[in-house]
Amino acid sequence: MGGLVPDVYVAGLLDQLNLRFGPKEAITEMLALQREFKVFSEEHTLEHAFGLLNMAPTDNWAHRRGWYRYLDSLKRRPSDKPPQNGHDRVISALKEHLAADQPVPVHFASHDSGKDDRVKVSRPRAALVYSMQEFLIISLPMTPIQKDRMKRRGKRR
Amino acid sequence: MRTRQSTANGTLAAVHADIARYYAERVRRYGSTPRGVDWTCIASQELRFVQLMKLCDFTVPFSLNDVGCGYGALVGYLAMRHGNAEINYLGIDLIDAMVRRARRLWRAHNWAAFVARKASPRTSDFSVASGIFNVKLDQPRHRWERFVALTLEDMHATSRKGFAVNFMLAQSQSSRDRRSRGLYRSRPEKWIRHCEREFGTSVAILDDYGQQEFTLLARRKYP
Repeated sequence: MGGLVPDVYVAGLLDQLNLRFGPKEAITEMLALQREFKVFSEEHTLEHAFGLLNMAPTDNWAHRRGWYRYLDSLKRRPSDKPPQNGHDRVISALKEHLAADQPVPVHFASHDSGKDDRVKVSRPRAALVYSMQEFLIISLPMTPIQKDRMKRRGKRR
Repeated sequence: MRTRQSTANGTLAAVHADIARYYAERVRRYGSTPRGVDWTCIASQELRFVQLMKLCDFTVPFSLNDVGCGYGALVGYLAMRHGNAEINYLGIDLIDAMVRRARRLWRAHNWAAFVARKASPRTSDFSVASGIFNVKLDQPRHRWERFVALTLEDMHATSRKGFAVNFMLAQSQSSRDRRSRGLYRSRPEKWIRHCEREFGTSVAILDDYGQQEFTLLARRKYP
């Protein structure tokens, strides 16, 4: 995540999202929250929405700030649905998805931003080799911290 | 010979002591946040408030007791969602540290006050309690149900128009898991019957708000 959240915590963070958007009770709760509060809408940033849902590191404020900065950085990333930026793409995908009567759960994944720096949203399909469950898949572009540092050093030169 | 009152006091004292220890530690660790009072997040905490507050008519002024108010999150919700309503709010909590935090947090809201007490010191139009029956810790079920019944009795006695509480819904045998240990779950029928029989209230149940729980709204028939 480009050093905004230490590499070792990124998987846990994605797990946190996947549990809250997971099958059965989890997605049912998310649906109810969206219906009542319109958590995912153009009126709220991802930082605000995920903050409200406490989907962020909870025990380390530096990591929490880093996560929010990462979410904000998605505004400067493209998406698979131009001209929408990556940040707005996540919001609109979740908003549309949670407007359905019985949405499938959502799976958050990551991919190498060096190969594709877009935020990508895939139609519902089985995302996990060990499960038949279909998920809407939202894949976030991420960079290893070392690559990010090398890139910045290169720019300074 | 122990009287009914002294037995009830004994039951409550043991339970209150357990609860106070548990939540004092939560708030020390997590502060004035949903985690400090055992909720996942602000949104899910407020989704409960939405259900509980269906008891009240916001078009007319009313007084409200919030039993087990914690750091007073309901005040923030009421200010945000019902800013124009005229409410006289009293938050009641067992734990001094919670009440101190609540007073500090909401000092700008002069319609809200807080007291550290085991029960409400005043009668209001309505009483609500969110999540106070969920974590029973190591208390045996029968004792916890006695605590629930006594708390409901007190809420009824100090509410002119009605009260609202929520409960975690009993799970099927197959879906019980380790996470349920220390939690109190129930079926609505038990507490509907209880409120109708003991208090003569009319009872409505809300259970379609995306949580594995239900909200019980008990209204006096002749307020």
